[in-house]
Amino acid sequence: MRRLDVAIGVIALAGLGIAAYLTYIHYAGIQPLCLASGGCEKVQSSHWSKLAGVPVATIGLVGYVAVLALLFVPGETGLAGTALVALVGFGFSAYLTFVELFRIHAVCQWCVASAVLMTLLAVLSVVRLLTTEDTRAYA
Amino acid sequence: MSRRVEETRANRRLKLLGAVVAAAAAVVVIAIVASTTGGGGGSKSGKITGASEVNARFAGIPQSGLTLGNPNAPVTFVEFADLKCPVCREYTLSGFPTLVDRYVRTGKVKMVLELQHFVGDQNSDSEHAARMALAAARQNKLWQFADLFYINQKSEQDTYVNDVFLRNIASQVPGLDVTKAFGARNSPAITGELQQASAQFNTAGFQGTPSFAVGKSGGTLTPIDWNSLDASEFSGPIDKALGSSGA
Repeated sequence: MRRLDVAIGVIALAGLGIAAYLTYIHYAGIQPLCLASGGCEKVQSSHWSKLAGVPVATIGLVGYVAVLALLFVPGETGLAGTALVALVGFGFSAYLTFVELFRIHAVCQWCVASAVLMTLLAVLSVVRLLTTEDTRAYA
Repeated sequence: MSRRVEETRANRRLKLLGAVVAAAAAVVVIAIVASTTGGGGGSKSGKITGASEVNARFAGIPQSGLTLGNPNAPVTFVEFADLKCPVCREYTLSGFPTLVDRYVRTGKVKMVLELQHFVGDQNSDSEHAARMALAAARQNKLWQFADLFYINQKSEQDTYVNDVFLRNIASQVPGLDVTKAFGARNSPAITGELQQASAQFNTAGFQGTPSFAVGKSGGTLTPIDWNSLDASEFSGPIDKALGSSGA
């Protein structure tokens, strides 16, 4: 496994931890640990914390699991799939960060951390797509 | 690997990347539209948004008239609100969903909505909205109607609560007989309920909406002095009431 794969795996695992925590506190009905006063609570309880009734944290959880699973899919399907999921995650995270800043007027550190991880995943997965040799096609 | 083969691979990967970026952009746009509209696709009018979000929020929670939640819940949380009030909307979109998940869905708290009608007195917009909401309450659909109204609320300076707007909102609430609701909204019974809600608001000494009170069910409710509309602002008073109720 290449260093790039390992880096993506580690980052996705970190993101998975954050998403799992936010999903847990959503369904357990408890308040998130938050450094700033009430920012996490405000974001987590906002209209934008769900997409079509599904908590955004849960969607993130699925996304990180998908990234991890696609790392083990060989060939260009795996490379493209990882990049696709990471880019979708990056794009939606960027939108949610915009919403936090300009709609909710509160910042959730967990969400920001996840957005940063998604950004890293997007960059690394694109580099991986462009640089990884497909041994099946070019052997 | 020869240089030519390498170039072929690089070109192919660039094309693949372009396709991936385009697909990702499409998915993100769809997600943003769904987020903005609350997934309210399927609106006959094409104007009302948030139906699926609202229906998911209240799915499985009992409703009876003005009350949301377990009728035997140990604690009662009353909200005095006006459907045209923008701050009431802010509460509904910020703290309310978490409070429902945390306290109402778990059967600990029942919520009661006492609708006021003083925003836009000059055009009776607020009263039209409240009357239709109370007519929905008679079919145990008050909370879906109110939530959907807030999501689609317009400027409080605008006059927009006409029959078309009310019908568009009501038709997005599954199980609500819109014709029956229109027939009931101007009944003397609903006029009486409006007057009763106003009397309760005045008796409690509230000055504006939204106002809240919480306490042991069947006992005296205590007004909540709030500074923000986050769920955390209300958790303390609710937990205190739950503690004193022995729940």
